Amino acid sequence: MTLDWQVFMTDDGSGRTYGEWMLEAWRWTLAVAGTSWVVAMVLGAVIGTLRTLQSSPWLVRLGDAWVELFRNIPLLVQIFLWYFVVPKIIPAFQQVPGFTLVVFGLGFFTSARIAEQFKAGIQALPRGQRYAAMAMGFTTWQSYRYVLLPMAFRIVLPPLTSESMNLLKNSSVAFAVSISELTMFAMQAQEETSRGIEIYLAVTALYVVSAVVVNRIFALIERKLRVPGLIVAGATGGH
Amino acid sequence: MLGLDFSFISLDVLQKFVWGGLVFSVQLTIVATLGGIFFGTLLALMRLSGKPVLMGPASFYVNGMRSIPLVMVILWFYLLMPFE
Repeated sequence: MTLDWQVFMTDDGSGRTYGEWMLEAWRWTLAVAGTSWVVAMVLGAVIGTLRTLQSSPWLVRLGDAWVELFRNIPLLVQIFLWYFVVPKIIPAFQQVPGFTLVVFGLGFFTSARIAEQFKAGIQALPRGQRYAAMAMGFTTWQSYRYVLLPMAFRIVLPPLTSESMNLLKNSSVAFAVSISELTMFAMQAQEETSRGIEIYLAVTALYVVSAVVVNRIFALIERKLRVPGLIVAGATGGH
Repeated sequence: MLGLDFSFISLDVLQKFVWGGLVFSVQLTIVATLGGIFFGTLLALMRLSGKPVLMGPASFYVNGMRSIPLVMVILWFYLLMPFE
């Protein structure tokens, strides 16, 4: 079987080539993943931190409930819930575009996983760190801000790398609610052109490139933020 | 309530669709887990073997599969399977 890459130069019937369509779909994938990443990181960091506040059991329970809720429902089901059920129950969501609903779905799902990692990262710190902060007379906020979180953040960087790459790949479920991202493009263009192998190869390559770029960015952050002697990052490779 | 209508749920629907779907989900999970453990162990052994002939392809497969969305993997299988 021979590959025919000319398919990317042909018109898709609306004045643009399949190549242009694919790049546009790539931008959608990056937009969905990027926006969801911000939501997931902010929520995940906050909720993960709240779950380690032993003095506020209700905040811990709330955080635990959040994580269990969003971790134990399949992502695809969550996307469908956001897209079909939430607007029906909460009328205010009827005006919200599909893109935003998918960002909620992906962002909340990933935030639960990131929260779990942040909690683990904070708990991985020696108990003495917290006690030392208390001994210095720091308030809870100060001990987190200046002692615990800076170290915990460095500990969770390797799992955060994996999670960010997962988020990018998971953005492919947005095809299920007609977001015109890469997977959606792959399915539609495959049907229209019957050049499935070429299109899938190109789409797969774009996903691989995106994932590798995310990986490299995090490797760079990890290297820049390394605290000599405190964490032996890079020794085992992590992800 | 909330504009929702659950009247479609009947014993018939539960038996035909919900139960069938649940059984299929569990079956798929079991088969995929067993297959994953088997091939995963094989790949791990290949990567630890110290022989470049085995380590190269295993690393390529693992890194490749890990950087592709699951949906794309399924689409690939769907595209390729009937013709081979």
